[in-house]
Amino acid sequence: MINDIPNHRPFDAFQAFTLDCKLFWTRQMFPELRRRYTAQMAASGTQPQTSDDVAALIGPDTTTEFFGWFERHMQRMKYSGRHGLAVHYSQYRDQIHEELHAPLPERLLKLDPAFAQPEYYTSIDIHQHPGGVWSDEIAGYVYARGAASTAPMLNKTESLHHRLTAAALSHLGRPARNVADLGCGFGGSSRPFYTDHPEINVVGVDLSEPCLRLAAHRAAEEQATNIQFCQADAANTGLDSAAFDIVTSTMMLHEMPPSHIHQMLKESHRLLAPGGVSIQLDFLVRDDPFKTFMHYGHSARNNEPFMVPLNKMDIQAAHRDAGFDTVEILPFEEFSGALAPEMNAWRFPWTLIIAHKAA
Amino acid sequence: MKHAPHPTGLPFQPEQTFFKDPAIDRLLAMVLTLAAELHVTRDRMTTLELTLEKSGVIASADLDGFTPTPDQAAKLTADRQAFVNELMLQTLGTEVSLGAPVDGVDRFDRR
Repeated sequence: MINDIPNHRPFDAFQAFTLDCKLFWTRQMFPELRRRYTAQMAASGTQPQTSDDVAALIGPDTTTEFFGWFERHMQRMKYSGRHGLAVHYSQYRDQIHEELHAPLPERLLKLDPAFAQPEYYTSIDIHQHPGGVWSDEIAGYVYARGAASTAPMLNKTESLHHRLTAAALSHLGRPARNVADLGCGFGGSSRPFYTDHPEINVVGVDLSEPCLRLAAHRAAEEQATNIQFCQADAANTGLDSAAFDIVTSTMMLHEMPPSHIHQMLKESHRLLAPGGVSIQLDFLVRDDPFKTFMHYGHSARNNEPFMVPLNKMDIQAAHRDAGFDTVEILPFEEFSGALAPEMNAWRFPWTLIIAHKAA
Repeated sequence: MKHAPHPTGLPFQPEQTFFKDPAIDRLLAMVLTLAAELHVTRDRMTTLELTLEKSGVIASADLDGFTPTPDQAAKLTADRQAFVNELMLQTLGTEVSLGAPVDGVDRFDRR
């Protein structure tokens, strides 16, 4: 479906331009910034302990200024520039409406016409996506196309989502029959479960109707029968208790306030069958004040303010409060070589949070 | 031209700045806007050239090896020099219209 939108060369050229700028930022500007930070530490004889310490040391550096500017404005241009995503897809509004409202197999999509969005969700345009991923019918298309270049080093043939799916099944340690994917968006994280594992029934949950409609139509195109997309809050899904072997989320925790995360963890525990596993893929930095400085900067620059409180949360305690037994926090290799010492390009601090419900 | 109001009616936040002088942030935004447009235009020219070459209307080698006639050379040179002159003149920071005297305009107030 998304490939039915006609080719538009100026759009492709513009997006390729901003992506190439972002690649330079990722592969050359970031390592240069890290080099300057190391040099400043040596010159000053200091060893920063916190993000604020790092800010004091390299905040005034011109390369830091350019680094911050480019991150914010390449994203702004990607979405809102003359050939930005929101501008581009708004030209195909009628076609998108027709596609998203085409008949679907009945079970595939469950929307709530009376659904009330949480205030935190509607008050901030995360990722600098104008209007957010919920307010405009074209938002799912915009978000899906935007996601293709969010982390420039990701090789799409080695899908991040496939890696998470494999990790989830491995950590469960028994055959999975039912999986709940919370904050599923346009279905990218649900897809490896329902396409590669026809024996698993998958429920994708999200707040955004535009994203859910796109997810459902994509699944319909693949004639999937083991997936259902539901509009609900991950903190209050309305799904049956103890019905799932795996409850998962990808890049959802950092988009909600801590109070909501606590509720969502309790809901995850309720949804899991005894012995089930909760596996969340998100971003945490705990060991490096420079990486923390980068991460908190990204949070501000990209309209993702809840990254900071998530990073400061006692995640293990939050899981134990929700009733979970063991909690592991592990670095996640989103592509081969991502965790290698010689990998010096910018990357998100991908982290797996794995918790087990008592059997 | 204004950006549309947010669908929620919520006000937008003040601009995020990264340089000590916010004028640099805005200037860099203009530079990158121009750079992106330049790329789109160059891409268009290249696709136009490739399309025309495929149709047999032109050969790319003719463009690369273009040798202007004296009249054509004079026009191209004049265009280039006018563009460079206008661009480089801005580095001097000179005014081009007569502004008010720096010591004020009271002296013109003759009662």
